[in-house]
Amino acid sequence: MLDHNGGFVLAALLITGAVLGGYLLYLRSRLAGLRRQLERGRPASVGAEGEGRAAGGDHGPRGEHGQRAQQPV
Amino acid sequence: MTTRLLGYASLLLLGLSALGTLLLARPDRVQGDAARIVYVHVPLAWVAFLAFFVVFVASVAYLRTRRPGWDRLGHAAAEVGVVFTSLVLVTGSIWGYPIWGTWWSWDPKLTTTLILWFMYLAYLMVRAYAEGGRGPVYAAVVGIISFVDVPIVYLSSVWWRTLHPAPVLGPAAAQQSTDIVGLLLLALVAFTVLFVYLVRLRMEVDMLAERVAAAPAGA
Repeated sequence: MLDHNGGFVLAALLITGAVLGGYLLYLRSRLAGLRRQLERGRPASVGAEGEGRAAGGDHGPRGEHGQRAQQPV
Repeated sequence: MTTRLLGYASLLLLGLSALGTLLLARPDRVQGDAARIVYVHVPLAWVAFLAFFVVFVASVAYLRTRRPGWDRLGHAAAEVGVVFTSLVLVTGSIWGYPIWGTWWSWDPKLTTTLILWFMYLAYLMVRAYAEGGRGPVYAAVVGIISFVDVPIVYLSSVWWRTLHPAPVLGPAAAQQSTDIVGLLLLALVAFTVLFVYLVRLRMEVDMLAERVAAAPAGA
Protein backbone atom coordinates (compact mmCIF):
# COMPACT_ATOMS: atom_id res chain seq x y z
CA MET A 1 0.00 0.00 0.00
CA LEU A 2 0.92 3.67 -0.15
CA ASP A 3 3.26 5.16 2.44
CA HIS A 4 2.62 8.24 4.62
CA ASN A 5 2.72 10.45 1.50
CA GLY A 6 -0.03 8.44 -0.15
CA GLY A 7 -2.61 11.04 0.84
CA PHE A 8 -0.82 13.60 -1.33
CA VAL A 9 -0.87 11.24 -4.32
CA LEU A 10 -4.58 10.54 -3.85
CA ALA A 11 -5.30 14.26 -3.41
CA ALA A 12 -3.46 15.08 -6.66
CA LEU A 13 -5.36 12.38 -8.55
CA LEU A 14 -8.75 13.31 -7.07
CA ILE A 15 -8.37 17.06 -7.61
CA THR A 16 -7.22 16.48 -11.20
CA GLY A 17 -10.17 14.17 -11.85
CA ALA A 18 -12.65 16.54 -10.21
CA VAL A 19 -11.45 19.64 -12.09
CA LEU A 20 -11.28 17.93 -15.49
CA GLY A 21 -14.60 16.17 -14.89
CA GLY A 22 -16.18 19.45 -13.82
CA TYR A 23 -14.86 21.24 -16.90
CA LEU A 24 -16.17 18.45 -19.12
CA LEU A 25 -19.61 18.66 -17.50
CA TYR A 26 -19.59 22.44 -17.97
CA LEU A 27 -18.83 22.08 -21.69
CA ARG A 28 -21.45 19.38 -22.18
CA SER A 29 -24.11 21.36 -20.36
CA ARG A 30 -23.36 24.44 -22.48
CA LEU A 31 -23.56 22.33 -25.61
CA ALA A 32 -26.89 20.88 -24.50
CA GLY A 33 -28.22 24.37 -23.70
CA LEU A 34 -27.15 25.77 -27.07
CA ARG A 35 -28.65 22.79 -28.93
CA ARG A 36 -31.93 23.35 -27.11
CA GLN A 37 -31.88 27.02 -28.09
CA LEU A 38 -31.21 26.13 -31.72
CA GLU A 39 -34.08 23.65 -31.71
CA ARG A 40 -36.38 26.28 -30.27
CA GLY A 41 -34.99 28.78 -32.75
CA ARG A 42 -34.91 31.57 -30.19
CA PRO A 43 -31.63 33.01 -29.05
CA ALA A 44 -33.24 34.18 -25.82
CA SER A 45 -30.29 33.80 -23.49
CA VAL A 46 -27.29 34.12 -25.75
CA GLY A 47 -25.96 36.86 -23.48
CA ALA A 48 -25.87 34.45 -20.58
CA GLU A 49 -23.88 32.03 -22.68
CA GLY A 50 -21.22 34.67 -23.08
CA GLU A 51 -20.22 33.50 -26.52
CA GLY A 52 -22.75 35.07 -28.77
CA ARG A 53 -21.06 35.72 -32.03
CA ALA A 54 -22.67 36.35 -35.32
CA ALA A 55 -21.94 33.53 -37.72
CA GLY A 56 -20.16 34.57 -40.85
CA GLY A 57 -18.37 37.36 -39.02
CA ASP A 58 -15.17 37.12 -40.96
CA HIS A 59 -13.38 39.44 -38.63
CA GLY A 60 -14.29 37.88 -35.34
CA PRO A 61 -17.08 38.28 -32.91
CA ARG A 62 -19.59 41.05 -33.17
CA GLY A 63 -20.68 41.78 -29.68
CA GLU A 64 -18.77 39.35 -27.55
CA HIS A 65 -21.73 38.55 -25.38
CA GLY A 66 -24.19 38.30 -28.15
CA GLN A 67 -26.27 41.25 -27.01
CA ARG A 68 -26.55 42.53 -30.56
CA ALA A 69 -28.07 39.27 -31.67
CA GLN A 70 -30.75 39.36 -29.05
CA GLN A 71 -34.14 40.43 -30.15
CA PRO A 72 -37.26 41.00 -28.15
CA VAL A 73 -39.28 37.81 -28.18
CA MET B 1 -18.87 10.55 -33.70
CA THR B 2 -15.10 11.10 -33.65
CA THR B 3 -15.50 13.40 -30.66
CA ARG B 4 -17.45 10.73 -28.78
CA LEU B 5 -14.80 8.10 -29.61
CA LEU B 6 -12.11 10.45 -28.32
CA GLY B 7 -14.11 10.83 -25.11
CA TYR B 8 -14.32 7.08 -24.54
CA ALA B 9 -10.66 6.60 -25.48
CA SER B 10 -9.51 9.29 -23.05
CA LEU B 11 -11.66 7.81 -20.26
CA LEU B 12 -10.19 4.35 -20.83
CA LEU B 13 -6.60 5.58 -21.10
CA LEU B 14 -6.90 7.86 -18.05
CA GLY B 15 -8.38 4.98 -16.04
CA LEU B 16 -5.49 2.70 -17.02
CA SER B 17 -3.01 5.45 -16.25
CA ALA B 18 -4.52 6.06 -12.78
CA LEU B 19 -4.44 2.32 -12.04
CA GLY B 20 -0.83 2.16 -13.20
CA THR B 21 0.06 5.14 -11.02
CA LEU B 22 -1.46 3.55 -7.92
CA LEU B 23 -0.69 -0.13 -8.47
CA LEU B 24 2.29 -0.53 -10.82
CA ALA B 25 4.53 2.48 -10.24
CA ARG B 26 7.36 1.86 -7.81
CA PRO B 27 7.99 4.34 -5.01
CA ASP B 28 11.07 6.51 -5.42
CA ARG B 29 14.11 5.70 -3.26
CA VAL B 30 14.25 9.24 -1.85
CA GLN B 31 10.71 10.62 -2.21
CA GLY B 32 8.75 7.46 -1.51
CA ASP B 33 5.20 7.37 -2.86
CA ALA B 34 5.04 11.15 -3.33
CA ALA B 35 7.00 10.61 -6.55
CA ARG B 36 3.94 8.93 -8.09
CA ILE B 37 2.55 12.42 -8.64
CA VAL B 38 4.99 12.62 -11.57
CA TYR B 39 2.48 10.58 -13.62
CA VAL B 40 -0.11 13.34 -13.27
CA HIS B 41 1.96 16.50 -12.94
CA VAL B 42 4.31 16.00 -15.92
CA PRO B 43 1.63 14.96 -18.47
CA LEU B 44 -0.49 17.92 -17.39
CA ALA B 45 2.46 20.25 -17.99
CA TRP B 46 3.15 18.62 -21.36
CA VAL B 47 -0.43 19.10 -22.47
CA ALA B 48 -0.41 22.71 -21.26
CA PHE B 49 2.69 23.37 -23.41
CA LEU B 50 1.03 21.61 -26.34
CA ALA B 51 -2.10 23.72 -25.86
CA PHE B 52 -0.10 26.95 -25.92
CA PHE B 53 1.78 25.80 -29.03
CA VAL B 54 -1.60 25.26 -30.70
CA VAL B 55 -2.65 28.77 -29.57
CA PHE B 56 0.55 30.16 -31.09
CA VAL B 57 0.02 28.42 -34.45
CA ALA B 58 -3.69 29.29 -34.54
CA SER B 59 -2.94 32.92 -33.64
CA VAL B 60 -0.39 33.29 -36.45
CA ALA B 61 -2.79 31.64 -38.89
CA TYR B 62 -5.69 33.83 -37.76
CA LEU B 63 -3.71 37.05 -38.18
CA ARG B 64 -2.69 35.95 -41.69
CA THR B 65 -6.04 34.64 -42.92
CA ARG B 66 -8.68 36.14 -40.57
CA ARG B 67 -10.61 32.89 -40.81
CA PRO B 68 -12.85 32.42 -37.73
CA GLY B 69 -11.93 28.72 -37.52
CA TRP B 70 -8.37 29.61 -36.45
CA ASP B 71 -9.72 31.96 -33.80
CA ARG B 72 -12.01 29.23 -32.48
CA LEU B 73 -9.11 26.77 -32.34
CA GLY B 74 -6.88 29.27 -30.53
CA HIS B 75 -9.62 30.16 -28.07
CA ALA B 76 -10.44 26.51 -27.33
CA ALA B 77 -6.78 25.55 -26.88
CA ALA B 78 -6.13 28.57 -24.64
CA GLU B 79 -9.06 27.77 -22.35
CA VAL B 80 -8.12 24.09 -22.05
CA GLY B 81 -4.47 25.13 -21.58
CA VAL B 82 -5.41 27.41 -18.70
CA VAL B 83 -7.34 24.56 -17.03
CA PHE B 84 -4.33 22.25 -17.41
CA THR B 85 -1.87 24.90 -16.20
CA SER B 86 -4.05 25.49 -13.12
CA LEU B 87 -3.79 21.76 -12.42
CA VAL B 88 -0.02 21.83 -13.00
CA LEU B 89 0.27 24.52 -10.32
CA VAL B 90 -2.04 22.65 -7.90
CA THR B 91 -0.46 19.20 -8.33
CA GLY B 92 3.02 20.74 -8.16
CA SER B 93 2.08 22.40 -4.90
CA ILE B 94 0.71 19.11 -3.53
CA TRP B 95 3.95 17.39 -4.54
CA GLY B 96 6.11 20.19 -3.18
CA TYR B 97 4.70 20.14 0.34
CA PRO B 98 5.92 16.68 1.43
CA ILE B 99 9.24 17.03 -0.43
CA TRP B 100 10.20 20.70 0.04
CA GLY B 101 8.18 21.35 3.18
CA THR B 102 6.27 24.22 1.58
CA TRP B 103 3.25 24.56 -0.68
CA TRP B 104 4.80 27.37 -2.70
CA SER B 105 8.21 28.90 -3.34
CA TRP B 106 9.15 31.81 -5.60
CA ASP B 107 11.40 29.47 -7.47
CA PRO B 108 12.12 30.26 -11.18
CA LYS B 109 10.16 27.26 -12.47
CA LEU B 110 7.11 27.95 -10.32
CA THR B 111 7.20 31.67 -10.90
CA THR B 112 7.50 31.42 -14.69
CA THR B 113 4.66 28.87 -14.71
CA LEU B 114 2.48 31.25 -12.72
CA ILE B 115 3.34 34.02 -15.21
CA LEU B 116 2.38 31.65 -18.06
CA TRP B 117 -1.00 31.06 -16.38
CA PHE B 118 -1.62 34.79 -16.05
CA MET B 119 -0.62 35.40 -19.69
CA TYR B 120 -3.17 32.96 -21.07
CA LEU B 121 -5.77 34.21 -18.64
CA ALA B 122 -5.06 37.62 -20.21
CA TYR B 123 -5.58 36.04 -23.66
CA LEU B 124 -9.04 34.84 -22.61
CA MET B 125 -9.96 38.17 -21.03
CA VAL B 126 -8.77 40.23 -23.99
CA ARG B 127 -10.73 38.01 -26.36
CA ALA B 128 -13.87 38.25 -24.24
CA TYR B 129 -13.84 41.92 -23.35
CA ALA B 130 -12.15 43.85 -26.19
CA GLU B 131 -14.67 46.19 -27.78
CA GLY B 132 -15.62 46.64 -31.41
CA GLY B 133 -15.14 43.00 -32.41
CA ARG B 134 -11.36 43.34 -32.12
CA GLY B 135 -11.10 40.64 -29.41
CA PRO B 136 -9.84 37.83 -31.67
CA VAL B 137 -7.15 40.06 -33.22
CA TYR B 138 -5.87 41.36 -29.88
CA ALA B 139 -6.06 37.87 -28.39
CA ALA B 140 -4.04 36.44 -31.30
CA VAL B 141 -1.31 39.00 -30.60
CA VAL B 142 -1.33 38.05 -26.91
CA GLY B 143 -1.27 34.37 -27.93
CA ILE B 144 1.88 34.87 -29.98
CA ILE B 145 3.71 36.99 -27.38
CA SER B 146 2.76 34.67 -24.50
CA PHE B 147 4.29 31.65 -26.19
CA VAL B 148 7.74 33.13 -25.49
CA ASP B 149 7.25 32.04 -21.87
CA VAL B 150 6.82 28.34 -22.73
CA PRO B 151 10.51 27.58 -23.47
CA ILE B 152 11.47 29.79 -20.51
CA VAL B 153 9.33 27.62 -18.20
CA TYR B 154 10.75 24.44 -19.72
CA LEU B 155 14.39 25.50 -19.44
CA SER B 156 14.15 27.48 -16.20
CA SER B 157 15.38 24.55 -14.12
CA VAL B 158 18.38 24.22 -16.44
CA TRP B 159 19.21 27.94 -16.64
CA TRP B 160 18.76 28.87 -12.98
CA ARG B 161 19.43 27.30 -9.63
CA THR B 162 16.07 25.96 -8.59
CA LEU B 163 14.32 23.63 -6.17
CA HIS B 164 12.49 22.05 -9.07
CA PRO B 165 14.08 18.98 -10.68
CA ALA B 166 15.30 19.02 -14.29
CA PRO B 167 12.78 18.22 -17.05
CA VAL B 168 11.87 14.54 -17.42
CA LEU B 169 10.72 14.90 -21.04
CA GLY B 170 12.12 16.52 -24.16
CA PRO B 171 15.62 17.55 -25.24
CA ALA B 172 16.68 18.88 -21.81
CA ALA B 173 15.49 15.77 -19.98
CA ALA B 174 17.65 13.80 -17.61
CA GLN B 175 17.89 10.11 -18.51
CA GLN B 176 15.08 8.07 -17.01
CA SER B 177 14.86 4.46 -15.97
CA THR B 178 12.67 2.38 -18.25
CA ASP B 179 10.00 1.59 -15.62
CA ILE B 180 9.05 5.27 -15.24
CA VAL B 181 9.09 5.90 -19.01
CA GLY B 182 6.42 3.30 -19.85
CA LEU B 183 3.83 4.62 -17.41
CA LEU B 184 4.74 8.20 -18.18
CA LEU B 185 4.15 7.63 -21.89
CA LEU B 186 0.77 6.03 -21.15
CA ALA B 187 -0.24 9.05 -19.04
CA LEU B 188 1.08 11.38 -21.72
CA VAL B 189 -1.01 9.74 -24.42
CA ALA B 190 -4.08 9.66 -22.14
CA PHE B 191 -3.92 13.37 -21.32
CA THR B 192 -3.14 14.29 -24.94
CA VAL B 193 -6.24 12.41 -26.17
CA LEU B 194 -8.26 14.16 -23.46
CA PHE B 195 -6.86 17.51 -24.63
CA VAL B 196 -7.94 16.86 -28.22
CA TYR B 197 -11.39 15.79 -26.99
CA LEU B 198 -11.85 18.91 -24.82
CA VAL B 199 -10.66 21.24 -27.60
CA ARG B 200 -13.14 19.72 -30.04
CA LEU B 201 -15.97 20.10 -27.53
CA ARG B 202 -14.96 23.71 -26.81
CA MET B 203 -14.86 24.54 -30.52
CA GLU B 204 -18.29 22.98 -30.93
CA VAL B 205 -19.60 25.24 -28.16
CA ASP B 206 -18.21 28.32 -29.97
CA MET B 207 -19.68 27.22 -33.30
CA LEU B 208 -23.13 26.58 -31.82
CA ALA B 209 -23.03 29.88 -29.91
CA GLU B 210 -22.33 31.67 -33.20
CA ARG B 211 -25.25 29.89 -34.87
CA VAL B 212 -27.56 30.76 -31.98
CA ALA B 213 -26.46 34.39 -32.10
CA ALA B 214 -27.06 34.51 -35.85
CA ALA B 215 -30.44 32.77 -35.75
CA PRO B 216 -33.34 35.13 -36.46
CA ALA B 217 -35.47 35.81 -33.42
CA GLY B 218 -38.62 33.75 -33.26
CA ALA B 219 -37.58 31.66 -36.26
